[in-house]
Order: sequence, then C-alpha cells, then structure tokens
Amino acid sequence: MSDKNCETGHAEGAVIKVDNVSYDYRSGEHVSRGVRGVSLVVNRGEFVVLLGHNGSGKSTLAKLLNGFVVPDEGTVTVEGIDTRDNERIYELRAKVGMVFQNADNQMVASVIENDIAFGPENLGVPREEIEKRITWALDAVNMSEHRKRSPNKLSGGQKQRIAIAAILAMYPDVLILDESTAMLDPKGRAEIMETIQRLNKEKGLTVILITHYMDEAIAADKIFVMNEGRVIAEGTPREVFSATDKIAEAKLELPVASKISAELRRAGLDIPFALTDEELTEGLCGLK
Amino acid sequence: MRDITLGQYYPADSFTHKLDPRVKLVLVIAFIVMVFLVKNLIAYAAVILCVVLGTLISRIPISKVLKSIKTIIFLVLFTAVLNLLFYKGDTVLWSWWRISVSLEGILFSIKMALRLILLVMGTTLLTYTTTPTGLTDGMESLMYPLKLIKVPTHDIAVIMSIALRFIPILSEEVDKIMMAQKARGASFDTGGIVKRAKALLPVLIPLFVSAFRRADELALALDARCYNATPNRTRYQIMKPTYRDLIAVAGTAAFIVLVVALNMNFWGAYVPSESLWWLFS
Amino acid sequence: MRIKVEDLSYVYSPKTPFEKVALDGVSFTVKEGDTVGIIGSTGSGKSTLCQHFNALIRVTHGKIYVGDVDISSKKTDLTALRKQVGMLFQFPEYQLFDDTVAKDVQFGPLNFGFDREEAARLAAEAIKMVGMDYDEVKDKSPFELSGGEKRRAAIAGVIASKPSVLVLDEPTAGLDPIGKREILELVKELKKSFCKTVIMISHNMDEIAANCNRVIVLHDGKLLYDTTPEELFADPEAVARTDLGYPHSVHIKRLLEAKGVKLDTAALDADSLLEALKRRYCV
Repeated sequence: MSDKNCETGHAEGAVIKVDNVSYDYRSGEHVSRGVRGVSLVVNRGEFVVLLGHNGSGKSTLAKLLNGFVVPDEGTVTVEGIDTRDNERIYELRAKVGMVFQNADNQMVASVIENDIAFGPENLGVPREEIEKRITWALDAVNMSEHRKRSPNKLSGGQKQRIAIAAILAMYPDVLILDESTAMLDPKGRAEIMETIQRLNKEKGLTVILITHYMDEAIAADKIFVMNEGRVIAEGTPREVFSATDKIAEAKLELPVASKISAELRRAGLDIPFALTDEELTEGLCGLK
Repeated sequence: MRDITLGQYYPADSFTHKLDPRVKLVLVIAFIVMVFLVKNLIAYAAVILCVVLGTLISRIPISKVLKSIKTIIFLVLFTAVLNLLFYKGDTVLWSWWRISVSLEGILFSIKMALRLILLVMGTTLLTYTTTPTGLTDGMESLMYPLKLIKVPTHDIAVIMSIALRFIPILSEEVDKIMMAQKARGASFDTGGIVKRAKALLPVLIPLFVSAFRRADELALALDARCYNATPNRTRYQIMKPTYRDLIAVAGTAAFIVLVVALNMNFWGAYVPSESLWWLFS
Repeated sequence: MRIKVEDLSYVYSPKTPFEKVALDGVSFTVKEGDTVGIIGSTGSGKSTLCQHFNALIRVTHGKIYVGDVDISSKKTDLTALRKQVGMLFQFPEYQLFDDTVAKDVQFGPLNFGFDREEAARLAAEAIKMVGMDYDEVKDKSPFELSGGEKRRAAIAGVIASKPSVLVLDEPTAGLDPIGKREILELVKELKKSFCKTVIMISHNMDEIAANCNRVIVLHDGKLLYDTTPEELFADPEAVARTDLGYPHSVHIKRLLEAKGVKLDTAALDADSLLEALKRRYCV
C-alpha cells in the first residue's frame, strides 16, 4: 500500500471474494454459530462497513478474511490467494492487515517506533526501508511527534491510531478494523473515523470497518448488515438505512436524523430519507 | 501517575544514551564487580567520581538520581545502624551490653552504605539511559552463544519486551478491580493472614481472566503482524559499537585499574602518614 | 439520599514532580430523586470526583455529606457507606469472579452484613431485575455467559444490596444499541424502586440529555456549570467550553433555527423533537 504502489496501481476489481462461506465454532461437543452462507465481494479502494450487533457473526467474518479461521464450507480468496493455503498465509496476512478492539493488547514494544517496526521486521524488510515505513505510517495517522514516546500515556483514540500505523507499516492492501471503535469515547471514535476515511480517499487503501455504530457507516461505499450469521441487507448507506425493517431485525439503531425522517415520512410528510442532521434540516426547509 | 512502561528510562540526547546497549550491560556488570572489589575509602572516592562523571555525561537531572536513592534510603540506614552497633572493632569508642561503637565500625558502616548507594546509582544509570527495547535487544544479542545451541533467544526477547509492556497495564487493572470489589464491600486490609489471602481471590481471579483474554487478543495481534513469518527477520534497532563505546570501555577500564591500584595502595609505593590511615584501611 | 459536596479538592501524588490537581474547589448538592450527569473531557476529574462518593478516594480537602453523614471524617463507617452508595464501573463484567452467578451476586450483600438466606434472596431479586432468568443462570459460571449477560450479572452484583444512590461510570461504553437501551431502562426502573438518586458519568450527550435532570460540567478539575440539560444545551458558549458537542436532537433543532424554523421544544431526545416536528409540519 505504498504511495508508489498506488500510482502504478493494480487493476480495479475484487480484492476479497467470500463465496458461500459457513463456519461454526466447535469446542468438544459444543457448537456455536459463526456465519452461515455468506457471500460478498470487496473491491479495491472501497470503504466497506460490516454492521451488526454483538454476536451477529461480524467478527467471525473478519477472522475469516485474513485466515485466522478457515471456512467449514465455501471459500475465501484474497487477491487470488485461498485462505486455506497454509504456504501463503503470511503473504495473505501482510496484504490484509487487521486492527482489533483493544489497542493495549496489540502493542508489543514500549516505544512507539519499535512497536511499529515489529511487523516489517517480521517480514524481513531491510532496516533503511523500515525507517521509511515508520515515518510514513506515523505521518499517515498524524502521530509523528509521538515516535520516540511510550504508548501508555496516550488517549484511547491515539493508541488505536498507533495500532493502525503498526499495520500500515506492513503496506497492506486492505485494512480491517474489527470493532476498533467500540471501546472509544466519541472523540476517539471521531479521530479513527477521520483517519481511516482519509487513508481510504487519499491513499486508496481498501478499508473494511466492523462496527455496531450506524453513524460510522454513513460515509461507506457499501454496507453489509449481519444478523444471526447471515448477511440480511447490503447496499449503499441510503439503501440500507432506509430499509428500516431490516435495521430493526438486525437490532441496530438508526442515527437520530434517519429515524426522524423515516417517522415523518410515515406520517405523510414528503421529505427525502435523511442520513445526516444536515440532510434532515434541508429536507424540512424544502417543505416550507 | 508515573509512566512505568518505560521503566525508568529518561529520554535525553547524551553520550551514554547513544552507547550500544550491549556495551552498557557489560560495563554495568564490570561496574558491579568493581564496587565489590573496593576496599578502602580512597578507592571509594574513585568509584564515586566514576558514578558522578557517568551521571553528568548522561545528562540525568540530579533530582532523578536522588529519587532512585530515596527508594533504598531506609535499607541503607537500617544496615548502617546495625553495622555501626554490632561491628566488632578494636578502637571502641562507646559500649553497652552487647552493643559497641568502634572507629572501625563507623568506617565499615560508611563503606557498606556507600556500596549500596553506588550500586543503585550505577545500575539506574543503565535503566535511565536505555529503553526497554534497547535492554531486551542487548540481552538477546549477548545471549547469542545460546542461540547456537538452539535456544530461541528471539522469542525470549519478544517475551521480555511484552512483559515490560504489560506490567503497567496489569498493575492498573489490579487497581481497577480492587476499587470495584471495594465498592461491593470487599476489604483487603483486615483480618489475619488467611482471611486476607482469601480476600484477594475476587481480585486475582478477574485479573487472571483478564490476562488470558488479553493474551488471546495479543496472540491474534502477533499473527496479524506476521510474527515468525520468516526466519530471516530483520531488525530496526541496530546495535553497532562506535568510537563512543570504545571511549566508554577505555574510561571504565581506567577506573577499574585506578580502583585496584588505590586498593593496593599503589602496590605499597605510597606510605600514608599516621593521621590519614583511615583513608586506606 | 442527598449528597452535598463542599469545596472539594484533590491532588494526585502531592509534593512530587508528578503532582496533578484533579479537583479544585468543587461544590454542589445532589438532591434525592435527581439523575445527575457528570460531563467533561478526559482528565477533567469526573472519575476522581465520583470515587469520592463512596470513599474509594478519601476526602483530603473539603467536605462531603451523604445524607447527614460527614464522610470526610476518618471515623466514617465505610461498609455502611458503600452499602448505601453503589458504584458501577466501566466494563463491570471484569469484576466477576465466583464459580456461580448466584454466588457472585451475593458477594456484595454478604460483605454488607446480610445473612446467607437474605443475601440469596437479594441476589435472586437483583438477577431478575436485570432481566435474567434466575433459575436458568444461578448455577452457571459467570464466565460461561455471553458478553451482554456478563454485564447484566455484574450490574446485579452492584444493585443486589439495594443502594439508595447509584454512581455509574460510563455505563454504556462498548455496548451495542440493545445493550445500551437495556441499561438505561434498568436505571429508570431502579429509580422507581429503591435507588432514587443516580449519578452518571457519560461522554454521550444524547444519553445525558435524554436521561438526566441535572448536569455538572467539570473542566480541569473545576466545576464549570451546575445546571439543567435544557439550559446547558441552549447555551452555545457553554457547549463550546465543554468541548463535548450537542445531542443529535438539539443539533437538528439548532440547524433548523439557523434557517428560521422555531420549534416549541428543548429537543432533549429524539421523541420530543419528532413530536415538535409533527406539530409544526403535519397539520
């Protein structure tokens, strides 16, 4: 995902293909549902959001995408690599970087630059190159001034940005954030959203965000809504948000503006379905 | 409120900070040996000079150094008093029952106190000027001979590094859990030893559960960052001895020679006058 | 239960280079029946303040009265105080420890001096109150429960001793929408029965506006505002100073006002905004 890579660019097209995948967790006799019959495609440069409440199967799907678990049925391929292919598993993981929920549990070193170096070191990247990557990755998440410091005094949002930088330093093609905003306060969440949207727009990074906050999905190119291990709705934010019955089924909560515009439409008001506060206001003012 | 992640690391741009961690580790070991070699006060003066110079070169504020001494001051005073009262010397100045204070006793307790303080000052100089990563990398590199007999020295270094990172996180977690259980009426400071040990269960069990949960996520995070992807792992932090390390080694060696010389009274070349005997005993 | 805070200050690591003033001359009173929201950016002293209410942090400067008891006194009966002032921390599921849910929930009541029978009865009540089937979960290990159930079991452990004041430190952090709604519903239920006074720390202005009748705004350890959500969110200058933003419903109302649309509501929650919009547009 270096700038250079982006310029030369791969052809547009599918980065990740999930084809009719099912997976259950088994421990001894006990079987618990993971995902059932999921198919989806993520294209290069897209910002994709997987929405679902806790236990809907969205994190299982994330783990299938970089080969932490392999499907019981169906196939997952990343740039043509089957996640079952053990020989190429590290190649795959370097292409599909994953950031988790708790930033504290993802850091291995006590100084930020050493933590960011960890991934590239493991991949055998030459030293001078690692140096460049650290500078680039920290700059990409706006944390350059913290390079020589300890991660411990940082805020939740800052720690999570370091976790993102640590993945970026491996130059992935896809960045998956597995509920990486769930434990943050609104300010921290806003920081992460700003960071990943900028990476997506400016650096052309493919981003897959897994969350239960619908307002984080407003800027997505494509949304998949999960419930009980299945994808029950997919489409653009406008398509998905306005399918209010599906949202209710998935036990999610629409942003306030969407909820109100849906209610007002139901009450017979002729306004467009709104995703944001501004859209709702415009719609209402258009009525006069 | 102190950030214990970095241990005591004090960021500065000094000669000592730039030294190769391996060299620093070896020098500290040499320093410890030197402190134990010292016999008379004049040689102690040389070691004190060595530590003071080291501290000045490292640009560590004097308040920091005093703080590290403060943590052991009780131990120092305690042993000094014991030595003072129970050392059997010839020149008794005062005695009562089995207790006696002698001139030799005074000298001995001063030397013991100095020894402790110097050991702490010298070793904290290492931790003040070396990041935990530097220390673990240094140790890994010094363990190289073990690697030849298939000891996984890199894994050991990663484990040390992770341990250093998680100690402050877990200690914060202990505080949180204790608070939560106190809010539910738990008490940790009443009752006998058995009762107190039992009272810790509501803290220890959640702590272990949390540590395992963190370990699970950490294991995924290590995999996500391609840990063990290739045996040809590279290294960002390079350790390459420079002229500085040569100077440091030469300087320390000079001090060791000086201390040995003073210990032996310059091989008897210098005969102190009567009134100065205590400096050389 | 009334709580009165007088000129409360607190300094971490006093007289060291790491000295940090966490609270600086804070005074206010919480009346019985209040739901008070404590807001302020990270590091403003919210948690430090709340940990004073049940003497997890002892008063070092100033006074706090819980009911008529001066808890700044060294002789305060801490057990009695903590029975009265329950405290729910962030991620309370991390405090579960016993081998069955029932035993874990009884931990508080037993510590607070109830006998076994009484503690078992209180635990059963609390588990039902948080919406779990007592007979189904009582013999389960708390570690077998799902994430949401764990949090509910932990909450049961806090409310089992029927505190008359409940302090919640970001009760909805990390929960999905259903989990959030359940907790806030539970708080309303509690207010109808034994726990009349609720104090909650939150970063979520929607929650504060919709659930609290008063707000205390802290900034750098100082009390900036002691007011109602209506007044706070009607004052742009105050909101700017708190650095926390508006609740969505208030934000929409303000956007409309900027375009000349006046609404007859403070719009503290989505429902009241919706009703006002219906009155304005659907005639």
